[in-house]
Amino acid sequence: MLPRGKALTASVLSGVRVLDFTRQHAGAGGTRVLGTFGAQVLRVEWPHYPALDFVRLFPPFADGVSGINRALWFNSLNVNKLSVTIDAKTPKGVELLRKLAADCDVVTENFSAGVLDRWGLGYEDLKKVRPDVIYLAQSGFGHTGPYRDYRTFGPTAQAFSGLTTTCGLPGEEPAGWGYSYMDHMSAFMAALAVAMAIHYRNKTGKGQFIDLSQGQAACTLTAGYQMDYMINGRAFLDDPRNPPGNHSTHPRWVPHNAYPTKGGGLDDWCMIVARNDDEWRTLVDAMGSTEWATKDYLSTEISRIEHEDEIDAGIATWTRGFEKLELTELLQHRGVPCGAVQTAKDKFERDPQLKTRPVFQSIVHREIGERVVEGVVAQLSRTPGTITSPAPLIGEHTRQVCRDYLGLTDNEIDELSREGIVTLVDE
Amino acid sequence: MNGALGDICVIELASVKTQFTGKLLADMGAEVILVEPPTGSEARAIGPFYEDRPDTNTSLNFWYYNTNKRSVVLDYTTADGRAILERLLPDADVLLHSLTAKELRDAGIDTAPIAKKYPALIISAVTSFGLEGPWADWQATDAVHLALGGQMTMNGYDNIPGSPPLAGGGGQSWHMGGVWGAISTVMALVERDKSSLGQFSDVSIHDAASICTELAFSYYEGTGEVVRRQTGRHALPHITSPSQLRCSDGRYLDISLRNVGPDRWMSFIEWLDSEEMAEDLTEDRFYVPEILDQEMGHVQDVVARFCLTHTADEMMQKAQALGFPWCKVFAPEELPTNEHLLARDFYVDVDHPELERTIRYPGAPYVFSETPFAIRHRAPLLGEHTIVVLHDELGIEMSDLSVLAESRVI
Repeated sequence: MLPRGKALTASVLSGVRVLDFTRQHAGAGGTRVLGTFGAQVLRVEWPHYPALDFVRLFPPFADGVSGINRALWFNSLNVNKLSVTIDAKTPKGVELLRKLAADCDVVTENFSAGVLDRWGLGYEDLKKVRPDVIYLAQSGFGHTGPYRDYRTFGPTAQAFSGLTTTCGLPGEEPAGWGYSYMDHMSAFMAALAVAMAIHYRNKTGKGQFIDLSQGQAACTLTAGYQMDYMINGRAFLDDPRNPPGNHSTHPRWVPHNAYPTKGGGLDDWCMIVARNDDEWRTLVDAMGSTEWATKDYLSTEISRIEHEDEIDAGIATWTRGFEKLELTELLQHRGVPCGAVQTAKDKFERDPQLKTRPVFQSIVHREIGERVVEGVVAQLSRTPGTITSPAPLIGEHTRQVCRDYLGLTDNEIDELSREGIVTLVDE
Repeated sequence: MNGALGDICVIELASVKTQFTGKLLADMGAEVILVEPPTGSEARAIGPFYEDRPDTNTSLNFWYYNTNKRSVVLDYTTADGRAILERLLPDADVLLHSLTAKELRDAGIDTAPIAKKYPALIISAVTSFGLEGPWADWQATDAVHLALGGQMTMNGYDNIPGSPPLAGGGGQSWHMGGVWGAISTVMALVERDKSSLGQFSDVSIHDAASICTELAFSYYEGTGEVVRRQTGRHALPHITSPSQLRCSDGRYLDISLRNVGPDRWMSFIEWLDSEEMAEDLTEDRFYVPEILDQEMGHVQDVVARFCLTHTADEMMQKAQALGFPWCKVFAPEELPTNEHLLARDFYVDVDHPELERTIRYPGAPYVFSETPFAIRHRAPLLGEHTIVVLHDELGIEMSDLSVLAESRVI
């Protein structure tokens, strides 16, 4: 039988079944959230290019050995899901998928606009077999508008929205974000959108179509800059102080910067902030009331803004004597906002707060054994999100799903496999 | 039911940590009552301000993150204030706050008896580090979160020696925590649809940021390697060739030549060749994906020279027409006139009666067919709805409210 264990029956989304056509991080990250809250997520996949989710073959791999079930990024992103390999580009495959959709509450996809319509698996098609279906279409720029056919990755949405432009040092090209931040954020917004639609369906019995554009979602995260331009006429690129590095503009706190710490390595830095005169005095005290810092003209917020460079240089001289996490503890215990620039290693090995939270969890994977995967952020006291099963092998659940949900016999399933409509794993 | 959350009432104890969660719920139909101290939400002090005139009611930050909310001024650190706050709870579905365990104690708020008295109430916390643990009482700003969470180590330059890790702008850690606050709250609502029971939600912004770092975690878990920040592209354990290229207008283009495939490669080379800029990329060997990958540094050098002969807009349009996910690095000020956003009605004109004008706001992150995102009204003036909510709706006598106002409880 399919894994619908005890943990799931008591969960938020127990009984909710998701037919999941999504790929990559932006798609898989959203259905991961639904899965950790107990939805049964049926990942519809195909083991060959171009339909294969490239994340399945994206390094790093477990033990450095590549393989379709061995990518660690994929395996962290796809916990609590089942994998069903049905070829959506064949008429028979589409027929099976429509039949499957009739028993699904939610359908998710993140192909370019129009692709699933062409396959006969669009919202209008599936609404015929499941009138109250909640259908989430995630795409780079949405299903309408002149950019609807534009291709995107996370960095595309970040470049579009101003997220890239607003991260950098003055006078330099944008540094941007060093990862697909918008893949995470659009995944979270997708999970939120589906959860809200489920609540609405619970109340009214009605499903709906949700068009989530990653690029547009990104533009809701740079709103302050856009409003400053629309209302005050202030253009970001017109100000030679932009991008402002780690200096704060709203509000204008000084000091507010990353300072080098002991070791002098690439990641030996600490963010230190004084939001008001009290925090500044506490910081000065922590620095041993060194002569430069006690000068009268640095004691008020306005005057510190005028002397930002002097303050940055003075603090940097002091911070070089401390290890970054020791410095963080020292200042935080006095009440000064401060944070070590942590790497994955720092968070995993040292960060004492994360050790008390379920953000890293271990799970045994059928092919690569016990591994640590990312955990759950939303902590509910009575029905917490949980990670109950590892990412599936590709096609691991095809036979069970065909048998249990499509009512096919083993012989019929084997025949579909011979015809190349489904794939089965060695059992 | 008006909106996906049209049956939900949220009491939000105002803060910069809760406001994005509150907005996400309010813009989808929830009624959100913002409980503010007499001095106003801390978000009201964050600029920029309307016409650069700082005032309690002119913060653009506050405006954007508090659409569709109503404001009740209430000092819940006093016994009288807490008594009024409790009057709001019987009709509420969610109590949203950002108070740490210590701050709750200092304010005299004990959530355990509240949960017992109102078993259907969802008590949803969005705090910096969570309700418990050694850092629970630490102070954090947006940038402090982005340092501790791992974002800063990934953002910066590899071609500027000694340059610092960078936080990035726009309050992104508040967004990371805020979207999780909304997910957690709505999951609790969906569960309550079945059980009729509320529960506690504990969202830590530090948790949210810590697992919002894509490949950094997988590399460390798999190989023990730490990723290195690189200008305008992904942080990885190894240094890759630049993918942010300067165009003839001085603007930048974000490019990717991953998984190009022979057809797209051919159309791309034809384009370059038609302008006699293809150099040696016309050679057949570049059709072999492995060779293309090996030679990526050289290939991107050729493309970089080509970009210098076109504007970023021209490059983006032509490359996208050929199926490449390339994008001009836009400035925020270019978005309000962007043809795509305008065609999708992204911007919403919101009436500001106090200014006798409308103000244009960025709008919906998602388009729902049945229950559209809507900005029904602007963010509230400080205390704009104190009397409406406390007197007209809760039935507290005006004389009692006057007494409370004199002692600055409301």
